[in-house]
Amino acid sequence: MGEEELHQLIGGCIRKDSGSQKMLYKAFYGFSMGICLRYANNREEAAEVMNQGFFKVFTRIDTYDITRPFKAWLGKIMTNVSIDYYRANLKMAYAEDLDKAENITDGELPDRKLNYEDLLAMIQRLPNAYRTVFNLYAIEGYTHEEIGEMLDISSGTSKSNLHKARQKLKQMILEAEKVGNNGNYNKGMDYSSSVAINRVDLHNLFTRKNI
Amino acid sequence: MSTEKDENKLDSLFKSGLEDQANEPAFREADWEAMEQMLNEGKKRSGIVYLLPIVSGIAAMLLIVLGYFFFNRNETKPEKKNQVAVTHSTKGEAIDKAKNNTGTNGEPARQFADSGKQQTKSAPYAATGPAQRSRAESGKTFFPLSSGKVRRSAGNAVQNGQQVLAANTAKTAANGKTALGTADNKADQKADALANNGKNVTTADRTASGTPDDKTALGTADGKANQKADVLANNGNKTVKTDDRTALGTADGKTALGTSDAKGGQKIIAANPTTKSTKSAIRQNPGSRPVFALSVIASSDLNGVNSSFQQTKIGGNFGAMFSVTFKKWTISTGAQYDYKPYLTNFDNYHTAYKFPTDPSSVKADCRMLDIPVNVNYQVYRQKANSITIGTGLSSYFMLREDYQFNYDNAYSGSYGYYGGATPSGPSHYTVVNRNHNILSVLNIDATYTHQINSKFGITIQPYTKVPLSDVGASQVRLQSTGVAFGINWNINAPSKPK
Repeated sequence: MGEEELHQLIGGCIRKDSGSQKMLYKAFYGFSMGICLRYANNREEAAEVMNQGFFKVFTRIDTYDITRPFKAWLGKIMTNVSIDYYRANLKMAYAEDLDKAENITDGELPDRKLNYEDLLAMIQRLPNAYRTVFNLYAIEGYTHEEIGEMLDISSGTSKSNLHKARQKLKQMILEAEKVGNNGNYNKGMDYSSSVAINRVDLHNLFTRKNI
Repeated sequence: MSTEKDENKLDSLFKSGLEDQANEPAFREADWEAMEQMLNEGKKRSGIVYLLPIVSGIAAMLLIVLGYFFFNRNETKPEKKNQVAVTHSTKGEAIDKAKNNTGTNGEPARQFADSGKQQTKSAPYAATGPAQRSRAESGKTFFPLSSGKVRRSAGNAVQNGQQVLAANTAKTAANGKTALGTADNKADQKADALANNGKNVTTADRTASGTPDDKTALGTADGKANQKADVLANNGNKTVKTDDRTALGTADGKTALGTSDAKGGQKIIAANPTTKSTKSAIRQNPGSRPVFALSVIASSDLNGVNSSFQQTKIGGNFGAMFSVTFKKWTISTGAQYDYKPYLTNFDNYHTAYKFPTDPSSVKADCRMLDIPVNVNYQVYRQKANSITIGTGLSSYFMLREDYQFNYDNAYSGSYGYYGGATPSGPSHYTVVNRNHNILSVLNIDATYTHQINSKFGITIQPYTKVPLSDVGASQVRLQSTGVAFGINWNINAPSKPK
C-alpha cells in the first residue's frame, strides 16, 4: 500500500467512513493478527483482542501523528491491547520448579526452520506470563526494565519468566523433532512427555497463585 | 556459552518464523463483522435513534388517523345542525345529542329516546292545534329541562342499563310544561313493564285522539317513547336501526291520527327526523363505527427453544399498540421491545462457525423489536367485560443478540489449558442489529378487556408466540408464552353530552 493511499484511508477513518475503516482493517489485518496471535491462547481470542485494538485505532485515529510510521503505531496498539487483555494473569508469578524440565532440555536445537503454525502453536501453549515476556523480549526487542514497567513486574521476574519460556519452548521443539520429524507438530503432542510436566505446572499455577 | 547461543538461536528462530510476512494470517470476514458490530455499538447507545424512523412512522400514522377523526367530527357537526334546523331548531339539537351519545351500553337507547323526544315534541304541536302558547313555552322550557335530564341519564346509563336509561330520557323527551310529574311516573312504570307492544300503542292512540290537549298528548307521547325504549332495550345493537325506524314510523302515524288539523305539518316534520335519525344512527352506532384505541402493554413470558420448556427463562416486554375495532373485529398493530433470554442445547443452535469443541449449551440474551399485526374476534361480551380471541403475525427485528457458550469441561481439550492445538472455542458471540425476521412468528392470544369507563379499559392477555421460521443469528425456534397486561385508551370514545 502506497503512502498516499494509506493517508487517504486514514483520512477516511477520521471521518468515520465505514468503507475506509474496512479497507484499513483489511490492509492491516494480517499484520495485527500476527501480533495478537502471539499473545493469545487461540485465534478466537486473538481476533477479539485485535478488534479491540482496531476499535482503539478507529476511535483515536485523530491522535495518530502522520509523520511517523503507521505500522509502528498500530503494532504498539496491538501489543498494548494484548497485554491489557492478559494483564490480570500476568501478575501471577510462577515460582515454578524448573529442575525437572532442565534435564529434558539437553540437546541441540535443530537448524532447520520450523513452520509458522508450529511456532505459533508452541508459543500459544506457554502460560500467559511466559508468553508475554518472551514476545516482548525476543520478538519485539524490549529490555527487561521496559518489560517490567509495561507489565508492572520486576525486571527479575521478567528475566525469570523469559528463562522459563525459553526452556519450555526448547523442550517443545525437541519433542516435536523427536516425535514428528517432518510430520505435523501437533499430531504427536497428546502423548508426549512434556504434557505431563505441563500438568504439574498447571497444578502449581493454581496452588501457588496467592504467593 | 552454549546456552546463550542456544537462547539466541531460539529467539531468532521464533522471531524470524513469527514475523515472516508471508505467514500473516489471511483476512476473515467474520472478524470484520464482529469489528463492525463493535463500531456500531459505539453508535448503538442511540438505539432509540435507530428506531426513530419506525417509531415516528407509527406516530405519524396515528396522527393522521386521529387528525382525520377529529377533523371529520368537527366538520360534520355543523352540517347536521343546518340540515335539521330546516325543520326545527330543537330537532337539530336532539340529533346532535344523538350523535354524541355513541359508544356505551346505554347509547342506542339514549339515542333512540332522543328521536322519541323529537316525536313527542312534534306531538304537542300536532295535537294542540290552537295551543300556540304551549309551543312557545315548550320551545323555552324544553331545552334546559331536557339537557339536564339527559345528562343525568347518561350517568345512569353506566349503572342501570338500557331500560332505565331509556325511561329517563323518554321522560325528558316527554317533558311538556305541565305534564312533568305524570310523565315521570308513566315513564318509570312503562319502562318496568317492558315491551308491551299492542296495548300501549293503542291506549296511547286513544288518548291522543280522544283529547287533543297538551297534557294528554304529552302523556301518550311519553308512553310511546317508553315503549320504543323498551323495544330498543330488548333488542341487540344490530336491530336498533330498524326498530328505530319502525318505532318512529308508528309514532308518527299515531300522533298524526290524534290530530287531524295539524296532520300535514306533522307528517312533514315526522318524515324528516325519521330519515335523519336513521342516518345518524348509521353513523353513530358503535357496532358500525370503527373505534380507535391506543394501549400500552407490559408482559412477562417464558421463552424456550423447540417447545422444550424445561429450559425456559423468563423475559419481559413492553410496548404500545394501536387498534381499530369494527363490530366484533379488532385489528391491532404496534411495537414492543422484547427482552428474551433463553437457554438451549447446542443441537438447536445453528451457525456457520465451526466450533473447535462443541459447547454443551448456549445461553442467549436477545433484545428485539416485535412488530405484531393481529386480528381479534369478540367471542363474549357482558356489560363492560369482553373477551376476544385472536391471531396474527409478528416481525422480529433483532436489536442485539448475546450468545454465551457453555462447555461441559472448562478445559475442553484433554490438556486444554496448554493445548494450543485444541482451543476451547469462543465463550460468547454478539450480533447487533443484523437479523430481521419479517412476519415469521405466529401470535395466538385471548384478550380479556374490562372497560373502566367509556375511554379507558384494562386488558389481560395470555398469549403464545410460535415461530414459523428460525429466528436470529442462531436460527433457533424461539417460542414464548406469557401474559400481557395493558391499559387501553379509546381515542374516539363517546363524549358525554353536555
